[in-house]
Amino acid sequence: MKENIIRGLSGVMYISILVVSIFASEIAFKSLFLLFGIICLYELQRLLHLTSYLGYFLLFALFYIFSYEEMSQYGTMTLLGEGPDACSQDTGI
Amino acid sequence: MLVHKIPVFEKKKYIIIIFYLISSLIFLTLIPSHTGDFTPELVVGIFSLIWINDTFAYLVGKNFGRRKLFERISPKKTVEGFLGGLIFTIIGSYAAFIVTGLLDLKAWLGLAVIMSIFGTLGDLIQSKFKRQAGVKDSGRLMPGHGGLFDRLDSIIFASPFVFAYLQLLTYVS
Repeated sequence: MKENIIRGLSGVMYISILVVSIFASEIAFKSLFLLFGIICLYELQRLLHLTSYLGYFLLFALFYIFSYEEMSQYGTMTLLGEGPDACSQDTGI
Repeated sequence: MLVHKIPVFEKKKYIIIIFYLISSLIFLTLIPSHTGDFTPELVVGIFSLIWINDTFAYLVGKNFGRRKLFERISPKKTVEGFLGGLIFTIIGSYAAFIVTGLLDLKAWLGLAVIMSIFGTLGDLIQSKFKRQAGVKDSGRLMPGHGGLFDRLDSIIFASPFVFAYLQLLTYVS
């Protein structure tokens, strides 16, 4: 019984943190998942018997490039060497 | 059994970290702004579907579970639990469609099926990791739940598929 109460309380706390941050702003939502990512990475590395800091570095770098900066279709097209013409066709600019 | 012979869980750990954990979390953060505008209701709806699936899979499996889904990896999961989760997630997706008013009903039903199938698969994969490491809980951050990674495993595995599905709906239809 006590275990169920603990389980329920921490579940409610987790859900409320998540919902509040999602409705707060986009940056808050992304930052929360960056934080969750750090914790999950710590737990996953322990499961994999891996101790290194490269994983954390990759997490921050990839999150910055793809999530915060949003390497969008526009950026991907440029990277693919299609040039600005291909992008303007898509966006209609 | 084949699952025990797959070497990818022993080696190539960075591949797992990048493609299983980091990229899935990034796709998850991109889901609410997949059309360009930030729509928080969509991601709350998706999270609700996962919670409904987990809860009802547990409840139905506990009360009616007989046949094992994948006994070697996770002995407590049953076929009945999975089907119960799927049915209640579909009902929940109808509610999510009415409450949020986003997408259309068919799209939400598709989301429910994707969530239920890939969420359960994500759970099984995480059980495999834990079994391989020989631990019961992945961490101690969320008391009673067996770690935050344990709670997020379904959404982590399902998010790239959800993102791809939403992209398909936006650009192909």
